[in-house]
Amino acid sequence: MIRKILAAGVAVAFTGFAAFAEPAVVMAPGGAGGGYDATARMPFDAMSADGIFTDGATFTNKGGAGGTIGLAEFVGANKGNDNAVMSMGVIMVGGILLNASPVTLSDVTPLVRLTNDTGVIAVATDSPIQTVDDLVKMMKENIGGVSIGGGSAGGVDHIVMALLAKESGLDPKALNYIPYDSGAEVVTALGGGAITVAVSGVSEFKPMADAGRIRIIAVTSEAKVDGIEAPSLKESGINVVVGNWRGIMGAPEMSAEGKAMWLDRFTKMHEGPAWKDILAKQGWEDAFLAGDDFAAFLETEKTRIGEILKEAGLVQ
Amino acid sequence: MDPITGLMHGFSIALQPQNLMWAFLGTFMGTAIGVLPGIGPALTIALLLPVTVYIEPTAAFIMFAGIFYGAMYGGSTTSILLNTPGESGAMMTALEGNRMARNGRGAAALCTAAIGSFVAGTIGTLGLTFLAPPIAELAFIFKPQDYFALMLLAFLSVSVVMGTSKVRGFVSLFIGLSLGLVGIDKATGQQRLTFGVPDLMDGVEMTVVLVSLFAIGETLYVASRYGMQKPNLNPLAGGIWMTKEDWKRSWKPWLRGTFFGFPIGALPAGGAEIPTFLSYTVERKLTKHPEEFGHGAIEGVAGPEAANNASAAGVLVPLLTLGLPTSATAAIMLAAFQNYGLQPGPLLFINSGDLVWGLIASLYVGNLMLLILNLPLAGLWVRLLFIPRPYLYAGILIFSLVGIWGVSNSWVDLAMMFVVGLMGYAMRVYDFPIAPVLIGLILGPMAEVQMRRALAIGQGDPMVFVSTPLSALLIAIAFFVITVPAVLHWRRTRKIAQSEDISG
Amino acid sequence: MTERPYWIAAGTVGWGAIVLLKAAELPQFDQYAYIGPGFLPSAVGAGLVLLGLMLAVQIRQGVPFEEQEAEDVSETHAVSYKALGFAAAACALPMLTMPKLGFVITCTGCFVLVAAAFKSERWLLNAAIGLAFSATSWWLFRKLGVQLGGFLPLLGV
Repeated sequence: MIRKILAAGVAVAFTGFAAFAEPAVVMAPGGAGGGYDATARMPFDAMSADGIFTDGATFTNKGGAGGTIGLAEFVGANKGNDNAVMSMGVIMVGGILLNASPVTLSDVTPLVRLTNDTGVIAVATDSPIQTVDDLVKMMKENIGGVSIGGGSAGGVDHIVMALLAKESGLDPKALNYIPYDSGAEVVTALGGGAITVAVSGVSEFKPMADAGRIRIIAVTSEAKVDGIEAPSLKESGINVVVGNWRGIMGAPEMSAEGKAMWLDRFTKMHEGPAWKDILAKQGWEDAFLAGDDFAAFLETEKTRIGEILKEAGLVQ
Repeated sequence: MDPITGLMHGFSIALQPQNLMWAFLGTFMGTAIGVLPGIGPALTIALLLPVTVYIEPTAAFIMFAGIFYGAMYGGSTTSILLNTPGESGAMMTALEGNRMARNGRGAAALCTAAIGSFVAGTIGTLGLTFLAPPIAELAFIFKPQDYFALMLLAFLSVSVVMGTSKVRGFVSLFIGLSLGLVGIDKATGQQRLTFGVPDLMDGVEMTVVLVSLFAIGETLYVASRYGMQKPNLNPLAGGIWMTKEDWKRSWKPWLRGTFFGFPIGALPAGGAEIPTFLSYTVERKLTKHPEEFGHGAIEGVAGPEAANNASAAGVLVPLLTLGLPTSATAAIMLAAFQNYGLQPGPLLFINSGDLVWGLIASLYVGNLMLLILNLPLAGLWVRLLFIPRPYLYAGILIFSLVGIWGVSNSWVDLAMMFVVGLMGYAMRVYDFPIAPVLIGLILGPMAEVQMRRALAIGQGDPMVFVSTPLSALLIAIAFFVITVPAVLHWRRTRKIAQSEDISG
Repeated sequence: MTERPYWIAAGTVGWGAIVLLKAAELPQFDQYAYIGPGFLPSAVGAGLVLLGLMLAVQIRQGVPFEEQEAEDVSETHAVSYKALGFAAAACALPMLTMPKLGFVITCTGCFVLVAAAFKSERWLLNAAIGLAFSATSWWLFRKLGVQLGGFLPLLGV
């Protein structure tokens, strides 16, 4: 018992203090307990558990403006530092455009994509809308009458609906999109009938759908996902695939050796048991993509998101 | 498992010696950290998240629950004694509490806050035990127009903290509203009043304004008028305990505060602030001692403090029954659940009954522990006021800096601390009330979001605001609260005028 | 003689005008909610200008401004602008030194300045107490994981 408490005390003592060999410098461009925070910390837990990288890490949380404030600080402080990495994700790709951030992802070194949260489109359980076709039909009749709940304006949920509208021949600008601060707010608004339809991640909506509060009508992945009956948008005839993916970037001007070192570490981590355990516990979807493949993927995402945000009137 | 069996089982877990110790550790840490300005329960639990790797889930959650309640309570101590609330839920407590402390009745104020917190926490936990499912349904019932109407009602609290001049009260309110506008507009993603500064995109940090207006403003003001003579008042002049009269005047506000705090805390967009505003307003309207309000009325401490703590219990309702985190603290507790591979929600009670009932039982235990811990400490805390003034105020500034710099590492926040602190000084010199600034800053953005949401869903139809029974009722109440006193006043003055006519 | 603080009215009108000007750059209307991002800023800005003018009228009429009560404030004592200056300097210091010199040095400086504002001018003793207090706070909160920056960023620690 006492030993346990001591262990806990020591753990607390060392979280800010892990000054051993050469700890990694890690930036999480979001607040403690959030998505970027977990994406920054969990890989280091896994690497340490599997003995891949045991020098520890000093984490900095710097949230705000879609992660762009953390990005700017990371770029400013770590030029050429092979030991510095940061977490990021698709929301930052949009956030940079929305906030007209002077610092962009071209300033950092893409390393790996780690996880993905598939988007889902849901309606209230007693809604007449059964399929995506019903939804599109309803929107064609009166697009303003279909109130759509989701995350922040221009965020990944908004992008899903804007792409869906565009593919169905509707004007993305005309969507009656209503941003909410948290998944809890969206899901209660939808379940209580305040809004017609809502978009969020699988992890947010699946428990409420399982409890019979809401009904999922589509997922935004390539094909169906386990545990959800609804088809993907692509299977419903709408060519839209969007994921809320997250990954890791290296410092600006990271050397080729530094990049190779981190890619090796993350690849080993991805194969190890600790990471698989974390994926299962957090309910994360594995979306590992490393090095040049990730860099190429990132470029296509940038172009696609840039275009749709312009068409939705969110970016000039 | 029905609630009674579940609870009995839970007590058998919570009362195990090592779990009692975790509860003690949690309440102690929570109180200690909650006392500091700017560091609330959310941050504390977030900082302690890494320990989940080392201790088992039941113990961790018992500790977190203790921190949660402890931090909610701890905020009242500095509000009362030093007029430096560290989190928004404690602001209303400062209004009357600090006056009481200045009259030498700080210990009584701390006691009513401690017992009120205990009463509210216990009733809230009872509600969590037996009424969780129906209370959780409230989250689905509330529509944007209902939230908006509720916020309008909370805005009425401005009228009772106006001070002597309406114009100056409204200036304060509008300054608060204008600060609340800063940042990215949530509905459209457009930047408002950010002047191109990235640090302002997410808006003005509420704790920075709160700490600067109260703690920094107070330091500047007192320093400039400090007479160097010994404090002319013994902080313990009013004894270290509540009088019979205090009890009589406290118990109803405790219950009413709980009644506001618990259900509103359970709403996704509720929070701790709205119930404290409502509670203070109601106590001020109902009191038999209106002349004492503004000069240290105990009802004004008992009610808001109970509301603050009851809202904490309310937050746990949707978290445990639906798996919905409705506040920053709850979101971090959810992250802790996930660290253990647990998913809160209806299944949690079935899959992890031990954990849930152990947690609920430990809330009762933690509450009692807080009371036992804090009642004797009330007399001790008051002795804080015996610290020599130069060091006391220097210490306040340093803790404020921990809260402001430690949370954001933002230079802009330091600059804001200076400017808003000077504003707080000027407001004290020229008698502008301070609370309306915070009310505007907190409620303004919330009300705007809900209003525009309701309108967008109703496609611009203004009738949407009275389209649900609840919104119609709340708006009607707000309307009467504004008009009835005005009409009464008008009739009274007319009558006096008439009688003067007759006699003249 | 009544004090006539016209500058407060001017400040209120000025801030209101800034809010109004900034609001004018934003769309006032929105396609479904009708109330656009600029609507409330315009209303609040206009309200501030109006309130500032009303305040000016009141000041002209000679409305009294009574100072608020606070703990330790002596009503008989004259206002000490020297003390106010020290306290204000303490609040301004973090802006200048926090990023470069770090938390501990900054807070030691603040401690000495606030103590001086409260007429305790035992500089060396206060600096020692302030240093001990700041260093302890820094160490304790660092342990808790609050990000306070390095101990002495200049030396890279």
